[in-house]
Amino acid sequence: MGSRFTNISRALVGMVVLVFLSAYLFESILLALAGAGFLLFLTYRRMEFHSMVMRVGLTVERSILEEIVHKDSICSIRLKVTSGETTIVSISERMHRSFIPRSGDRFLEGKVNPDRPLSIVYSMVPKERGYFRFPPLKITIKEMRGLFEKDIELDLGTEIFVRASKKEISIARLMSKRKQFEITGPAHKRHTRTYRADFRTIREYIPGDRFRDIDWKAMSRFTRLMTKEFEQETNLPTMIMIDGSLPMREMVKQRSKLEHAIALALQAAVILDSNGHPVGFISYDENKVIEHLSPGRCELDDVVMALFKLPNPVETGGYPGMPRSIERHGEENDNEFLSKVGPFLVLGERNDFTRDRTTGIFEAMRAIEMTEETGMLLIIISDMETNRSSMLRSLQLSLKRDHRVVLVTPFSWPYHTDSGDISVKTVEMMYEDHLEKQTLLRSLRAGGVKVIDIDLNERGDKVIAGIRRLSQ
Amino acid sequence: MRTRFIKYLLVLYLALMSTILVNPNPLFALPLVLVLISLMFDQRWIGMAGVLAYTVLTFKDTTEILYLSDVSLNNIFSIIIFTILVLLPLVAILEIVLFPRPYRIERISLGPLLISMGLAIGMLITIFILSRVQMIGVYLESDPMLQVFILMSSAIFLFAPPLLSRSGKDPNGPKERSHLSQVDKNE
Repeated sequence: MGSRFTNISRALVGMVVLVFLSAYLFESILLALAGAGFLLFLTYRRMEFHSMVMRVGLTVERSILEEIVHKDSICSIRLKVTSGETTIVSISERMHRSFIPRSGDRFLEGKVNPDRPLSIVYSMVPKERGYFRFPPLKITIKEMRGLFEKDIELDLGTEIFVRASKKEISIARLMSKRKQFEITGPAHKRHTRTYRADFRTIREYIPGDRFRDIDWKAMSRFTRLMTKEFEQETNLPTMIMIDGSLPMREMVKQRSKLEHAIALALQAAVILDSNGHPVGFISYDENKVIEHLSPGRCELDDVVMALFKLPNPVETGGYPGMPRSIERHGEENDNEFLSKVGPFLVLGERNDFTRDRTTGIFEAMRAIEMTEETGMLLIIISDMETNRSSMLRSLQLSLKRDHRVVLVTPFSWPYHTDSGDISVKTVEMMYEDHLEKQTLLRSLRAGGVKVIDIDLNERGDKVIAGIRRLSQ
Repeated sequence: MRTRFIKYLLVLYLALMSTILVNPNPLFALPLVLVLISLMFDQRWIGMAGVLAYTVLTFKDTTEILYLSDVSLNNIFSIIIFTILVLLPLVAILEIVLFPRPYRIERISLGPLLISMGLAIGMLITIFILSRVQMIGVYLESDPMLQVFILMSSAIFLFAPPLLSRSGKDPNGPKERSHLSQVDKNE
């Protein structure tokens, strides 16, 4: 990549041309000599600039000043340039589109000396959670006289890990302090044991509390419903399962179902853990399990970290609606093909494959079957747009293993449309999708799955109340 | 302070030298006032205009360097004298005009300097050899236009390729410094 002429060097070239023209017009050898002298000067400066660029030894350091970066919180970046030789540089920092500039200048220009490095600090606000990589820096090295410039793109490979927003975490903490969570019912395995409950205190009634826990005497005193609170009663291993497939990750207008799912899962995990229930975590995508943490063998922090490490949302132009079932021809051929490629996709060692068994949700269920005990509480957060038939089979499988299954399912349309831009066609599609989904959910409910249908405004109350009412 | 003084001395020297050696009319040295203004107020565009005006006005109708001899390619001695006494200070003034204040002698590479000197010497030798070829020498003597043409063409032929060439290698210059510790902290 060669250097570029600036306006001054172009003016100098023009000056040489003018001098040569004058020499020709006035038949003056001295003018021609002067022109040759200026040309030689320009040539020397350019060669010297190339030589300087080769030996300059610029070092660019980008550091994130905060140890932990949260979504919607300010984070500061320091950019420091050192050089082995005096030179003029200008550096423009580009920002990932998930970040919004907050303060400070992202353009650095000035003279760098070996003993006086240049640096800037600017701040930005991440609007999304996940791992992000900074775009390459655009560096321009300038000749000291301003005659030439050279552009260089430098990829520092800096990564920034943005955690969920402080607000979401604080809501989860608040809820875990406020509410008592309990699961009652027959205990199947060693984890699920009911023991003698000690009375602790009374508190205000919250929807979802058991009827028999209401303190009627206290109610007459306080003229409102009060609930008796006991020490931990049960100890139920819980597995939180999150669908990380593409429809969940779709993000339109800064809203994605996955982000919402993470916030809800975070709340559920914190609340369950604070009540002494071991919490595990499985995330899966279309084809395979992404992360598997067994309850009782991992800490809450591991689950929280696994939640934050889920794949980033993918920004899309618009929501096309739920995937429709298409009339397929040659189903047998498809199945045969899947049976060939299936082992590579699911990383398993199964010999017989059908379409329903080569999916992420089935793999997750299989992992639970292989490594976990029966009688767990499974909280599945999925929009049910990927591998629908496989999901039905998988949930049936888990119910057979005496697991209690809670399906938290968001309806996609509110995430991807604003009330202002809804056309008649969109409403028709929404209605069709709604009907189709309700049919599916009805069959799941009939099969014994507890279904919690959520929308965009769900802040966690409905989910927590739904889980608490599970066996009442 | 001392460097600024040297700059003004250089301008004064050029004015005197051009008046004494090149053109006796002092009015032609007036564009050097623009150069002085440029040096005082750090306005490089004015300085460049001054240098250009000075060059064109002073050298345009000079056929001989006063007290020395005719200016001709056949007389290589006059050209060397002119180069040393007038042209080099003129280029130095152009450099001072372009370089921001305070002027500081920077580290230079030996390679480009040697190549430039080689090119300049090569140009002089070319002219010297050409003027010694009998037929060309006769033409050169009779036609100053031909002399200008040879000067221009040899300057362009020798200096344009390195000026317009693209540097072959990418700089090993900018390097990244490890930032992985930050990522580890986040982990």
